[in-house]
Amino acid sequence: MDPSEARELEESMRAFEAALAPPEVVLPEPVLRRVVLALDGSNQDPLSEELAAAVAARTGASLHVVYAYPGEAAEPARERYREERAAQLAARGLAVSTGPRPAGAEPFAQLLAALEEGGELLVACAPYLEDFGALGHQSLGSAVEVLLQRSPVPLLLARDPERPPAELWREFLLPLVFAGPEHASAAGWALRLAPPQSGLRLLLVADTELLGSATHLLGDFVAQQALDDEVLKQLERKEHAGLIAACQKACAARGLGCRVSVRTGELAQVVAELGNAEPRVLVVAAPADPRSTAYQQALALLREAANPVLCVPHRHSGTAAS
Amino acid sequence: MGASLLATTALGAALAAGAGAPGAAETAAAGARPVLPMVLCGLVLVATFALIAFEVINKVVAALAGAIVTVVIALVLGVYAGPKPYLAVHRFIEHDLGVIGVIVGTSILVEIAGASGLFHFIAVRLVKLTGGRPERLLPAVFFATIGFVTFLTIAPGTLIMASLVLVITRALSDDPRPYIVGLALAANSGALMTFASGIVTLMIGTSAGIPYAHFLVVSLPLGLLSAAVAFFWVRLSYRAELAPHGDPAARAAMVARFDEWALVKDRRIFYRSAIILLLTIAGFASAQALGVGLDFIAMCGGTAAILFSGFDPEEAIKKVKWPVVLFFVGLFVMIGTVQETGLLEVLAGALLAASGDSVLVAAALLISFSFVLAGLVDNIPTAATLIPMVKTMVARGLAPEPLWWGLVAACNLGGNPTPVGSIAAVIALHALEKERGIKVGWGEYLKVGGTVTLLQLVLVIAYIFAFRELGLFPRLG
Repeated sequence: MDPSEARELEESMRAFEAALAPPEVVLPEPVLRRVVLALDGSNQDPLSEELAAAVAARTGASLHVVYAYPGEAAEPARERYREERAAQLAARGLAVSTGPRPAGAEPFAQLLAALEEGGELLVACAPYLEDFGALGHQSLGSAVEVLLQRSPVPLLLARDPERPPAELWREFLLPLVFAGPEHASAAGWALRLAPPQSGLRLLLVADTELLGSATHLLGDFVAQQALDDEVLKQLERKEHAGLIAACQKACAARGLGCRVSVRTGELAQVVAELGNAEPRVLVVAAPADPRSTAYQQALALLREAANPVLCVPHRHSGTAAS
Repeated sequence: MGASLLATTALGAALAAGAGAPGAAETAAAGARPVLPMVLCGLVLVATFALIAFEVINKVVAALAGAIVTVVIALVLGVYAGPKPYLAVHRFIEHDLGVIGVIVGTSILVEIAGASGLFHFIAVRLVKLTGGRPERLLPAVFFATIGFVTFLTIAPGTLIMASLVLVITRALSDDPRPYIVGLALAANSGALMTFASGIVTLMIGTSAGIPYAHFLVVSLPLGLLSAAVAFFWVRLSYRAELAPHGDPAARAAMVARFDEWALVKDRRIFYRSAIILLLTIAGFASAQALGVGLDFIAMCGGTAAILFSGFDPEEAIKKVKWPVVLFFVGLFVMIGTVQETGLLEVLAGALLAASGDSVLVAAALLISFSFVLAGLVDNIPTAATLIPMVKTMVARGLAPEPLWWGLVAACNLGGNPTPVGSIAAVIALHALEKERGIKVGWGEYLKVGGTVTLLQLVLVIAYIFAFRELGLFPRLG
């Protein structure tokens, strides 16, 4: 028996073991009645509009257009810009509403105030109030970073404005190292926004950075050769199996594609390489605790993304579970 | 050692026959050739087979080394004819290029189909249908193994089923031995079902020019019958281990907890590869009518799988069984050189002489010899050595059908008696020992596999005789 056959046997065994009574994972079916579209006058606005319009057209949700900017006083030019954009969206046959600038001195506070009036999804750009080229991959902007922590709803963030909007919906890429309930929430949201003919891709990453930390931490307690990529790929296999089964079944029921890939490398690097290679929507499951390593990893994924990002904070998985 | 002795004895007998025993007339042409190259190349062949049989060195290295030594002998002793003698080596490889093409094409296709989770999914569905009942589980394992080997070839089919059996028997607290031994035996029956089910079948089918459809008439029923023999003997041998135990409802509930959807990697590849696999099989069946070789169909299937599955081409190409391809290159060059010396013609003449020119006796001898040699060495070198011999016998006027079909059956089933006789047994028993710490020793395996082999030997000879006497063989061109 040659080594490749031995490896295939091992993988096959682990796959069957994982499939034997995997934990039951239920994907939420979020309700989407109103989408809040946040414009900022930057070069990303056209992409934000296209994303929001596509979601509204697909789901039948209404659009509520806001323009948040610093300062207490409303600026007529910006208010006019908002009204014009809302009118253009309405001309496309969408149910569009707009209104006076929400209360608050800071843009994030205005956007949170707008969400309090109703809305299950916020479409905005990151960085907010800055052109994408100005900050690029270095920052998401302070407004978005605060929204990530405080938003009561998921965020659909436009990134590189050069990305062709029509092609972005072909695939939703959901990366994960350890499967948790936040990934079920994120998958549920992705399926809610996915158009027919599109698909969900689960990217299981064997994170070598994690391996390095574990090896360093364990030191002499564990032989170095005992912790390798293959070991890493097996971690949480059972939990992954539950999520994979739930996603496959849900996608099959909706006629959507669903595929599972496994990659080895540093999480942010692997996701950036794969995620940015083609137009698609990156789905990031952000854990509740902003101090956690997983939360920081989610931020790193967002910064590296050139494609739009659907960021689903775990504390908000929707209102109805199937 | 056993193989070496056996082959040396056969060699000696053949040379004696060629030197003057009855049948020498038939080997007159070969007898006129120099004896030294025959003896030297024959010894290299036997030594190579011994290295392979006893796993002294890697079998690919053994075949390549054997090829190099025989080529050197042939060049020094002037065995190759023509103005550029070395070009004979290229002819040997070119002659069997079709087999290599089929291996490359099908291994890409099988890899992609396997990676989609299609066969894992089907396997779990099938096991769930049994409700965990032992009297249903064993037939399901046999059935699935035969089916997977038929479509996926022997190694991938065995890998899937061995791993499933180990997981399911652990979950049900069953003894895995009956299932593991059973699936190893079933896999060898599955390998002779169709043209492309196994490498040996492919080699013989290509050399003999047997159309795909003929396999459905002749070897598919034989494969099923041989599997039935194995099934009943395994059930009888392990009746205590297979006796129902535990609460049937609890067993059914345990099996029902399997979620086959967790095994699906990509539904798009899943469906597309299934369609391409079926189209490729249809292509194999109609290759002759289309006027193309099976290698062309296999390469079309492999390329279509890469193009339409979305599978990473680099990954797919890496999965080609390159060691098998190299093994074949070495083997073809070595056997081609040995054939060039006239030795295989002498051996064929000896076999003809021993059979008294009766095709049925010749077939019985060939089948018995192939069973033994395939069990001791490896069925691929066995087939590679015996194919030229059968060609010689056919060229001398024996009916081809009993000989070719006998060889197909014997080379595939010949690996059944020992735990190292076939790749299926090696994989299944290795998995059992590694994952469950259970070792099936030579004694236990011989008791079951050896008996099955004897029964299958009788079955194959009777089957070939019956087909010949009843005129059921489709005529080969």
